[in-house]
Amino acid sequence: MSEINLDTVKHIADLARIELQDEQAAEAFTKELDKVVDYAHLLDEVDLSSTEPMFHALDLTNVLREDEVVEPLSQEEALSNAKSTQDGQFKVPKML
Amino acid sequence: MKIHELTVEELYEKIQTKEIKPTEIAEALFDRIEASDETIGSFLYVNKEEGLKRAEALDRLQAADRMDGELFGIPAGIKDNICTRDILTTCASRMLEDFKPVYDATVVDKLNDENPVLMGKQNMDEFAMGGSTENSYYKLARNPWDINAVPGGSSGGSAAAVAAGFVPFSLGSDTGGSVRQPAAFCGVVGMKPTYGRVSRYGLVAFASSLDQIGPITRNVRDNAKVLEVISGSHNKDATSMPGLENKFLEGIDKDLTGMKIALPKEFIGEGIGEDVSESIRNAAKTFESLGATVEEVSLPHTKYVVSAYYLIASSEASANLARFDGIRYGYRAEGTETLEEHYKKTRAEGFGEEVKRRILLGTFVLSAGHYDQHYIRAQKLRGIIEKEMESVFKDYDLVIGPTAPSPAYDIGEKTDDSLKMYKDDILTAPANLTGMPALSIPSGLSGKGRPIGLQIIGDHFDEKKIYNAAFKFEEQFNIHEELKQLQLEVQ
Repeated sequence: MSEINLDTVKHIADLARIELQDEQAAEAFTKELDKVVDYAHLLDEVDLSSTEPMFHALDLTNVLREDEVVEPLSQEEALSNAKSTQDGQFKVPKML
Repeated sequence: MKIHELTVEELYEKIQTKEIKPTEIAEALFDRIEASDETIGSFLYVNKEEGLKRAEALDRLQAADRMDGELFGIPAGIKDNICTRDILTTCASRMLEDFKPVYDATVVDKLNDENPVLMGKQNMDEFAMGGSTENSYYKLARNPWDINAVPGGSSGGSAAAVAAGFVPFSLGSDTGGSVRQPAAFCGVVGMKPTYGRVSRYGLVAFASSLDQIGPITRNVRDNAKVLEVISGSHNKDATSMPGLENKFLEGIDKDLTGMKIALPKEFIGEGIGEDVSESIRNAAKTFESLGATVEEVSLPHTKYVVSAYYLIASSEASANLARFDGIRYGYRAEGTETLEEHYKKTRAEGFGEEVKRRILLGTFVLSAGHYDQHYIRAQKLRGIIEKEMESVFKDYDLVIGPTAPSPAYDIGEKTDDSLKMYKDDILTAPANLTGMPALSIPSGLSGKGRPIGLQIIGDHFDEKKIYNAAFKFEEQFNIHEELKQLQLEVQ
């Protein structure tokens, strides 16, 4: 059975906070993603039982810097790319 | 003297000896961009006004004999996912159509310390996702060698601009091949440095454990010179490596006698074009004639690279691109009532199809019930690929192979099948998964007259060895004359 169906795509689009335009768009994504995930199952034939996952290419740990005070971004700069602001703050639609 | 044919080093020399002024160079290249980039589509923003002002200031310093900086007066192009203060940085996405960063990326700071002239921001696949620059929200880019062909991607604009003679060098970014593959398609030199060599601060993140910024140039020496300038850590990028030596030009012309080179048979096997394999076999012979030994080896897990790469890269992308919420910067959908509706509409309207596809794939891979099956297994495979490559580097100095399975293909040829395009990353993605440095250099022309790229991969932090081998190879084989001929045609 195919791992990705229309309901999966609707569910993950909701998780990713992306509105799907219509049923047709959802079907197109389903088809494409199913192909890619199906291809990824190629990995199933490799015995990975004794392998550790490699999350990163560098062995850097605990990277620290001097605790020095530096000039932060000004409020004006931080807000300069926002489409909607009020009283020096980002403005968002109602949450509930 | 044709200014657009000159390399970084040639321009530098002529400025230092006052044979030419920075404004003469900038004006000539801005004129060229104006005349021909409508066809090539390599720039998203041409920084003409500010660029000329900057060049005039450098003219005055030149007149006063104060020509400080390794790139004094040299024109530079920058991929549009690298932050430039007060200059549009769109990632070729509608999501960032009016985004002006409030800071410079580390690499831009480092460039600016050396006094170049910023010519503009370059076209790319949206958020660096793609291999042909066909995913740009704004416009198509074309290959200067054949305007019916793609320039490659995602740094397609950056490579095309260097090939067309618009700039002597560009900075691109490489997550799965995005500097090397367009460099191969456009017949120029592209380097993906070791992960951690160059600070990623100010590079709009796609897949943070794979992304690396690298130079695109017309020859090997220029490439080494630019990488010397942009290398170095920054305390705002905890994954950049402090304390490295970044001298790549020193000893670049060293004799290759005794160098051991491996050619994995999987890199010239099934799925690789005949003209490409032949070009790489010829390159192997060239290395042997230079005193190196070339032996065939096997990297049996190569066929799993694409699966592992797309699972990992898309997972990281889905997390990184969560920041585009339409609140602090970027596109914002109109007329939404609730916050959730605002997020969903903003992201639906701001992102293009391929970006959405990867976010959805990554979200799926990381979601409950699929994380162990897909994400962890992909990371385990990444570990196997790293061990396999490391074992080769125990016995060999460098690994060679093609950069891409084929030369540049026609525009539109692969747009209806994303998986087909993904599979083309099989030769470049290993360097990203393992963090190893890799460079692409022209090794031939196909029957259709399109460039073929040779890839040279090194062990971690072995850029110097790669540049040495590439420079000696370039002395024996290059397409510099063909490139000049091409630049005449572009005009």
